Amino acid sequence: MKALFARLGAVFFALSEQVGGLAIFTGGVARRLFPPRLDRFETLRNFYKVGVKSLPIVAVTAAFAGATAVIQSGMYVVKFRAYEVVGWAFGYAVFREIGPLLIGLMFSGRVGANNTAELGTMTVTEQVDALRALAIDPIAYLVLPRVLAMVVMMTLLNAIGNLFAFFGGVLTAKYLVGVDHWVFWNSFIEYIRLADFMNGMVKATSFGLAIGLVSCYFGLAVRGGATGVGRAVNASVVASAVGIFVLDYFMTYLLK
Amino acid sequence: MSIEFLDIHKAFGTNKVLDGVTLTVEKGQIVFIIGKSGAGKSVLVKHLVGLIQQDAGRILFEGEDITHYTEREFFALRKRCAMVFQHSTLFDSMTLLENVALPIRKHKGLSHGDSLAAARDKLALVQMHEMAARFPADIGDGLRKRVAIARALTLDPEYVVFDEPTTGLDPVSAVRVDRLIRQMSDDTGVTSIVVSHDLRSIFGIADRIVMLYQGRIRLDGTPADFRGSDDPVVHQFVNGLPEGPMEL
Repeated sequence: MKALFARLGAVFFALSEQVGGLAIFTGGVARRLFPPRLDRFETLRNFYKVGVKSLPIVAVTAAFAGATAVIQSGMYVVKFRAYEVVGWAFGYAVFREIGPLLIGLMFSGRVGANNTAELGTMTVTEQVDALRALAIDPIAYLVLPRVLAMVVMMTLLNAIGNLFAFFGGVLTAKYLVGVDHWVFWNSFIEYIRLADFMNGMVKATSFGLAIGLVSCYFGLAVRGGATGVGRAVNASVVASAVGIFVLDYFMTYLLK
Repeated sequence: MSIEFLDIHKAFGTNKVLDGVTLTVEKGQIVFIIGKSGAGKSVLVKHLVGLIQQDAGRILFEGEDITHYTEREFFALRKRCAMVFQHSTLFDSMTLLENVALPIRKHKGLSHGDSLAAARDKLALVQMHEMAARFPADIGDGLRKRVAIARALTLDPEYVVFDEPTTGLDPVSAVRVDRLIRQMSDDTGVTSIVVSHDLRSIFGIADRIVMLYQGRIRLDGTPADFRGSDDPVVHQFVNGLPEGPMEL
């Protein structure tokens, strides 16, 4: 029993250390925004790496997410002959929930993990200390452009993903469910409001911020060589996923 | 003008690494800090540029107490006191030219093109300008070390800390790096603090040698003082003897 409490205590302290560390780190990043001290080259490089290179995987994920939402709702649409709601069901589910959630998880796995590994490797090979020794602030030079790129690109990718999800949904509705694309379109345009789209966009922005901060924090906090980098990547992906679901819960409640 | 380490103490957990080190480095010298692996040589010099914070003691940089400097205050000092790390620490994602251009672009207010041109000049000083477009992973340790030295010199520092500059290099590359340190000191009057246990380098270019042992300074003197020392620990180290009083 004593050992169990000791173990629980150790887990609690480790968790508190990570949460506290992340809070201090977030404060440090926020402080560098006034005035913003962004390195133009590093920012552009990250926008390209984070955004352009993620586009194919996001497009595929979103198209299949849209298609899946139509297949799921299609069973009931056909059963109740409620063809006029298929576009709404798709839009409501994908724009508000499935789209940002799946793209966020995909983004975390691809971009967040890569970012933690890159910063972690720079930390254990003393490249981060080398930056400090060159009088270059690692938070301003490495972290700020990455977080900004992830916030902006996650938002943009969500918007583009919505478009691909729409095409995935339209094609699936026509060829698998038997709903004409005009019926799908009319249902979509009739019932889906800008607020539904914006709801998902706000979620995507917050997911991008969470992934950016978490992946950078775990990358710079790495200790212990290659093993430490592996552990940090693992912790970063898990923490980002948990963060995405927790944020999704609260934002769904607040933006309902 | 000088750098003064006053009664520096540092421990990592229960491992006491520095146990009251007091040392003054005069301007213009090449000072070697020597000792066996784990003696605290790198730890001591990293205090100077604020990469490690001491547990106790003070550091004076040209008379100014930097003991409680913040990270931001250290930035100004690091422009005057550069550091070359043991493993070169060039940035993997950049070419050699971009590595050297980075501090120029960040601190000298030059355009991208001008900073690259200035970086090419710095690379030429270490005979690396013809490899400017290569990436760090494409060249050997000795060449990487030369680029790291070029990068450290970009801001024209008055002091340069070298952390084991010749460790892991072949003899030819090591001699070239030694010559570069000597030449830099002679041409520009830069003060060099060199952490090393490479006896050939130590007796080749040092003006002064400081030996750390068990967290304290064991001997502080010229190369001749070290060669003539009758201290059994110094004698064992200087002669590279496997048997003797030196603890593992």
